[in-house]
Amino acid sequence: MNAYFYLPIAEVSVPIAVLLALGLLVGLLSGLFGVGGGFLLTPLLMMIGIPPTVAAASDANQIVAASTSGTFAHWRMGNVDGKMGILLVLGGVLGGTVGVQLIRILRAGGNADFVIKITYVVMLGIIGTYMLQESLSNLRSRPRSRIGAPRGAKSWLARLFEALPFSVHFAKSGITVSALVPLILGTIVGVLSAIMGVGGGFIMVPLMVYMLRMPMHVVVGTSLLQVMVTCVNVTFMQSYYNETVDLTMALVLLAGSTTGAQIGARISRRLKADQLKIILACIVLLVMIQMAVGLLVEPDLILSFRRGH
Amino acid sequence: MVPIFSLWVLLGVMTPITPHVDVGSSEIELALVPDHISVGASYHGTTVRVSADIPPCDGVAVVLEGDEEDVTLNRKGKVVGLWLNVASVTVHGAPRVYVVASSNELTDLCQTHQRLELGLGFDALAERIRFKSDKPLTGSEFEQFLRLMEYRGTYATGTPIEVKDVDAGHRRASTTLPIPSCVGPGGYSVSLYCFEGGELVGRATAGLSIEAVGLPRLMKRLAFGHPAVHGILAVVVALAAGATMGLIFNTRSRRRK
Repeated sequence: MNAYFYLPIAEVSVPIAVLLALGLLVGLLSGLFGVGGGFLLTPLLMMIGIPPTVAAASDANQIVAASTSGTFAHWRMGNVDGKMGILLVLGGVLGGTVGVQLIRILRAGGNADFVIKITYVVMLGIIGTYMLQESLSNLRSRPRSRIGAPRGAKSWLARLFEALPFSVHFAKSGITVSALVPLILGTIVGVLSAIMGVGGGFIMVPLMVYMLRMPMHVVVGTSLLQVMVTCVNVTFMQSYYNETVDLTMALVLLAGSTTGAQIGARISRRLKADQLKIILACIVLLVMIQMAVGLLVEPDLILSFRRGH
Repeated sequence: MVPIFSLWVLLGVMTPITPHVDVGSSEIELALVPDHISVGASYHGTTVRVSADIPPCDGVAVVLEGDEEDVTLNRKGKVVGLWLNVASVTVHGAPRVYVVASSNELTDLCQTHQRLELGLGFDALAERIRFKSDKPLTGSEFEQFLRLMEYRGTYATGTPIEVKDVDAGHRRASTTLPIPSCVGPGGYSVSLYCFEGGELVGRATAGLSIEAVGLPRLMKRLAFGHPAVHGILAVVVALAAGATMGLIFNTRSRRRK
């Protein structure tokens, strides 16, 4: 027997078990990889009949809970670099503001959808392929490593980062780098997440691993802190301006996601850093393939209800 | 709007199964069971049984219709080999719900002009609905809009009507109309038409009300009436839930140690 739950803002009813399972899955991803999971949950919610506007907004609301739970778990384990997190958040807010204006200009020109979709596929493709390739070669060469930060000769980018002023030591991450670097990276992620309409965790995680060379477990905890702050802002804005947050749906989702985040955080400690990265890379690539197929194959429905922000 | 709607609901409650008898050559009592639907937390759509004693006729049709509303949609198109949203399409004059039940094929009930006048069938809807777009229209908008609404379950035709002889000279028509959960709170009308030899010989209309109650009503009022409070509540609840779950798991892991 299926117990249903009526969602008053989405104006549809869905089985409670389905919402709980989706929440659990996304919470697990959140705790494991430090991503909000918006890139996965929003399309899944739309598949079960939630209007796109409500799916995106309520998703942000439940990510607040999952990322709070995950941040809490990682903080306790010493995996959150607060100093780094603050700089990334500041950059993210700046980039998000720029990105929202950029989208407005693109929408006026009628090119927004093209830019969003292409950015999604290209970003996911590059990140997923690079992570998979790098982690597989690391596993082959260093099968017992659990540290996670890629080693080897310093790239031109690393040398550029070291040459920048305002050098700061981030004790938790074990790196010394210019404060401008996380600010700039945060801004880039902010712009991209505004364009793509997601929290940006899955872009932030690889950037922290490969550009800032932070240990994977600190990356996960710090990324969750950034995702949490971003989604608090998005939830309030969506509720206030668009009235599209379905709190009842978010409550059921977060019951699953907060539990999943805790389980995910524990599993992440037992897995090798490269194993974690391989799983995340596979998920990112699957989402990229699904999006690419959606772009290439003629859709069943030519018209769709407009997604608002 | 709200007081009128409340009065209408009140009248419905005071006189259960009270139809709104319309013009026609024969007076018909139209019964809806239920005629008022309460949308609570566990609501997941329902059905409405429509029945009426009808005059001698050879065809019956029932139409469930909602208020007209403007809807903005995205239209996909192919750009350099990719399917992307290429235009914004605004739909004017489309009812929120449109479900037609009939005892025969709609085209066999009456003349086309009368069917269009009564709003029976999708071709009648096509006459009423208007499309506007920021790009040139393709001409297939109505067909595509229909597919979208049929996919949602809010537009449908082909629901059967059962017609039985009750006694000499009396017949009873009945049908069950599906009401999917995405049909939101509001006022809806159910109309019944009887045809004999292609002529309209009787018609009646009754009101159906759908109303949010309990938690859905509270959340709707909060979200649409006090969006700032709703936004703060959403954030606080999520933060508290995340922190509480963190504390619970923390306590458990300490106990294990």
